[in-house]
Amino acid sequence: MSQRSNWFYIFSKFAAKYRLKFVVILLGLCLVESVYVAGISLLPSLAVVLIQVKDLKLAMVILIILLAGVGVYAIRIFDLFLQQRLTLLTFDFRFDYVPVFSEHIFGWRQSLIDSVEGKAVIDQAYEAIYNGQNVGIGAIIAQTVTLIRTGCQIIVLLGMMGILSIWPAAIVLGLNLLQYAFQRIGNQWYFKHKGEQNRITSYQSYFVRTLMKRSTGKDIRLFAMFDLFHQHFIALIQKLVTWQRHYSNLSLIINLGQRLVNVIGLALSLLILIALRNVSIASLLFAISAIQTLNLNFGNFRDAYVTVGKNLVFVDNFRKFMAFPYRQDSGAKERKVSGSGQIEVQHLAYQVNGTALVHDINFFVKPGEKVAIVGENGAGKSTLVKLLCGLYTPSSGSVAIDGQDIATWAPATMRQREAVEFQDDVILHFTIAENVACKTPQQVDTARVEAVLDEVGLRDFVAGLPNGIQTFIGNELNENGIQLSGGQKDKILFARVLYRQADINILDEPTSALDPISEKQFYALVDAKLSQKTTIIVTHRLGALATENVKILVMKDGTVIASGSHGWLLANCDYYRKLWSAQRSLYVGGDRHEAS
Amino acid sequence: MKHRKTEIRHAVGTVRFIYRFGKSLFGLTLLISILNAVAPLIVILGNTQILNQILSNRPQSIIRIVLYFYSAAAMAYVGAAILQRFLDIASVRANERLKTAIYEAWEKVDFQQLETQGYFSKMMKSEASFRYSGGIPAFFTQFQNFIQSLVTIIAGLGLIGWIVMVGATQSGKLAIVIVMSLLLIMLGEYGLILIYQKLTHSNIKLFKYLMNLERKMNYFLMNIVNSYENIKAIKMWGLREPIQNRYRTTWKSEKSANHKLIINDSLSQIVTAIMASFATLVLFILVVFKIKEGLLPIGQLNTLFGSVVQMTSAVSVMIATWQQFLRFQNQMQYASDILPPEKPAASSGSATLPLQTKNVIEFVHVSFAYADGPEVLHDISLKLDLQGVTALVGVNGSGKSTLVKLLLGLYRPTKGKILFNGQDISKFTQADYFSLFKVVFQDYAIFDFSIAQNISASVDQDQRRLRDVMMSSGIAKWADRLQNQEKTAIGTYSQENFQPSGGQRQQIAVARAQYKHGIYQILDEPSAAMDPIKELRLFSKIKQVSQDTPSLFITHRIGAVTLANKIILMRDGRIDGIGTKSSLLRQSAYFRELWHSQADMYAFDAHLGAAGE
Repeated sequence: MSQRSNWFYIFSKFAAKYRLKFVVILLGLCLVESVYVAGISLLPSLAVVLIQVKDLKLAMVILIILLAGVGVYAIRIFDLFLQQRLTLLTFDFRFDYVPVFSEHIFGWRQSLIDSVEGKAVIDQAYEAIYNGQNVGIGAIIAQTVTLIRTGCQIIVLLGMMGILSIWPAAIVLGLNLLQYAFQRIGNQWYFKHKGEQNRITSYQSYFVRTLMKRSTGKDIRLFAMFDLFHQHFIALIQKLVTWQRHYSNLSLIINLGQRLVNVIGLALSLLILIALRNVSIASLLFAISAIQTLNLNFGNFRDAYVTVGKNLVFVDNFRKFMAFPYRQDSGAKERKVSGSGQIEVQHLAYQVNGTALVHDINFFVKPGEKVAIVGENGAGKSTLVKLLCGLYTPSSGSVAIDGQDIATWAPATMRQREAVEFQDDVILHFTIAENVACKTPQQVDTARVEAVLDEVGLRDFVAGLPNGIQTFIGNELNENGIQLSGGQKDKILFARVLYRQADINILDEPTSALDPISEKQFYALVDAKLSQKTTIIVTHRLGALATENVKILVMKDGTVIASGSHGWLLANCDYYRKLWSAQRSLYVGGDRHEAS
Repeated sequence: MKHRKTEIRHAVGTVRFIYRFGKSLFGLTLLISILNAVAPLIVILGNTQILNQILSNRPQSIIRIVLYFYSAAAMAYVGAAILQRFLDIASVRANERLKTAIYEAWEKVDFQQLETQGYFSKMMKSEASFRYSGGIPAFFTQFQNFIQSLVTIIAGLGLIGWIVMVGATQSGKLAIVIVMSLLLIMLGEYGLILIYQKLTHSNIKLFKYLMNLERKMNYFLMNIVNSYENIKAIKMWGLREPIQNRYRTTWKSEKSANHKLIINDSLSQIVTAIMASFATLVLFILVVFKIKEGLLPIGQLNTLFGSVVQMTSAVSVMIATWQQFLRFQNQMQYASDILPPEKPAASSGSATLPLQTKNVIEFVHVSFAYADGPEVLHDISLKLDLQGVTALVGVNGSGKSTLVKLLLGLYRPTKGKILFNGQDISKFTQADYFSLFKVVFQDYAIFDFSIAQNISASVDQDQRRLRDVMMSSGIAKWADRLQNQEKTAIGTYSQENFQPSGGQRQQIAVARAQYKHGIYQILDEPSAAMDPIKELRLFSKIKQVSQDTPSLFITHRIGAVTLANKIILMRDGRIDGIGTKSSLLRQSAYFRELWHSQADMYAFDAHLGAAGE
């Protein structure tokens, strides 16, 4: 995407948002600043003219100058006020995107979020919005406005100088164009090489994030990794300094060129003016201050142009980000639709980049049935779960719930019919009620929250808290937030499942972090609370499933190689028997056990 | 005045801090500022001379004047540009060194402290504040602006002073007028400075409030929006609405705080503009008066105006810079707080490790409580022979992980002591004591550099040892097929973009423990994510190598204790029992309960006997 179209994209979004307000402020600024700049350049000339008039009394002279001065400076203050209004607009423009950013991401297709491309676009689009007012889309607008304002001032001054004599104006203009040409060389180098610097700082940010994830601190200390990290840090520093050296060398040449041209230009214009015989002192004074102001403005103009260019670099990813389709959840009233919880999976397959993660999956789950999915890591269990809850769209085949293909379902419907607890689910630093109900505080059914907390055995714990279920967990948003133990976290996550009262409940490795007693209690709880509902559990713990009423799906290499009850599988599936006996051997049979 | 004193004291502190990282930069900046400030004044003086020459009708020397003055200005600019190049590079280097010092402070801080919430917020503040401040380049830009403005003001004052004072001795009336003008200026400026100070203070308060809000917004961004793994749960649980609800609330607060800050900044600018224009007008009128009285040539209007313009812009730059600097100091405070003091404290441990053929670690009445938390381990006394295989079991919250962290020296006991072969472990350096252990944590970390470095945890590797470890851990099988083999970098920051699977990562973690030289291996829930077959293989292997490498593992897979020579059973922060599986089954009802909660599920199984194994 060309820089020009990027610029147009951002500017049109801004103009569309503020329309009249923006136009009024911009025009006001241009007008006010043109008047100011003319006034301030003419003030010394005015003084000269007044002094040279023979009959004017001193008091009169002073009065006129006072009035003129106060007038000019009053305009300046009004100018600052208008700039403030504009800054507020540009800030809002950028900052209003912040909640929009998250809104989009929450609505993206899961496959996009899981992909490397998606993550990269998120990382880089975030730079366009989150890095403060001097970087990103806010800077583009602010500097564009600076461009327009200084442009007006330049035109006014050049015009006034031109009235005096055309040549100095022409020289100033010409030399500044030359300075711009120098600048362009620098900009092009910068654009070509910015990506390189980004890659270096991106790797550096990785180290920062890694160190902030404090659990890494154990490995770093116990394995004495300081020197290793130090070497990587030093390598990064050297790369950054080298990049800076190249850039600074180039900037030096450009700077030298610009400054010399500047000084020569000043000298030349002055000499030419003086060569014009009939130029008055007043005009000369005006010309000198006008040239100084012009050079300043040209400098600002160039800087603004460069800054706009540098920030347009972010817009590519920003546009890509905004263009990705996302699902806008209406979030409106969810009509409670119930079904029986029957699942039919036919010829289900899913592939990414030509690799099939799952293929040829067929099975049927009766309403209220208990299903277990077992198999080694990488067999496709998690992928299957994501397909079952509609996060992934199958490459071929279908998942049907109560006879309807779920590909047609809206996310809201899916959420009503299925409750999915993933292995890495987290508790948010909100209130207990929000974490259990997953609703805003106004929509929480507090009676139901308390009921399910009782069911998972947290009633006494919550009763002991000062604010009950309105107590905050974690202290990011509230200093009085409480810390939960691992076991309590698991209970709250399960309470979430119970609160939802979905026909179909999927639990992915729910007990891998639980101790034996808690695990036993967990399965008892599942039996008791989800007895009528279809429940699918992904697990390595085969023991709990060795009952007749559980249908076990054995997965290997991306497909279901066998399904049936524990007893039937032991008799008919070699792989299942191997899994079972490996696990069993730890408990039964004394000390004879070698890996088979 | 007291305010001013504390401000200056803090300023000196910040300057000293920066000095640690960029000594040469101060001199460079000073030179550049002087050159940059002087150059425009040279031009102004030259122009005044020219004007006066024209007025006195002596045009022949004009070209000479132009040449002298403008070349001098050009040389000043050229000098400044060249020095600027050196400054830019050096300040980037110094900035990166400071950043690295911050990161290394995080790395080296005591682990127990690292885990506290207090330290974590310190970490985040140090990183975020440093980033917002702009670092050392921002400091030197502010320093440059300040010195440049100061020099401009001094030189300008010199020039103007001359213009103002001229004729003071000639007439009493004039002297009075001059003194009155100066008084007027000082009064006016003083009043405006008071207003300005008020604005500055509320600016800093607003900024602190804003930083606090920023931290909350950061939580949303880092932990929710940008943590990709969580988004599927957010979708499936409909958490979008509660999240956006809270997010928007914080966002609104930040938006209005920012608005207040923008208005505050703008008011400061307006006040400085008023200050500048007030002084300019008074001086202007004074000079006009003098010119009318014939005391000054008209050309001096140029000097006045030129210098005044330079000076007033310098004053407003200086004041704005001071405000920026105050903000900068606030931010740097967090960074400097986290760094260790320049002179490190005398290291506590200096004894050498008393290694023997049979080593013993002993807990003597050890109790442990987290900072401002309840005691989680109570009066543990335990003698651990570092031989064979030991299993550490107990329910969640029984204190297993805490015990292991104390064993490793990551935590220090609140009461009691831990002895290694009879000597208190606090007498050894941490580095020495850590070198005893080979550990695989449940939340092990695989880093984004090469496989070889991940395994060896060092810059270079002992090739033979590395090869052995890679072969025995099964890594060689897949690593040899990669283009750069073990030198392949993990992660998206290199060309290869190699992402190992969960299983491969675990192999690397295990290989790392194997590669390390140590006398005792510790495994925390090593089989948590493994399927039954792999799990059995792992525990068997642990048993197999336990002759050479005694080990301890924590597990919930109560069946795994069958492979252990010794089992330590923990309950509610105490040791509930120690023994072999059969002895514990006999003696401890609690152990029986734990055992049967899992074993029963496998016990009644007639099918297996018939099908054979």
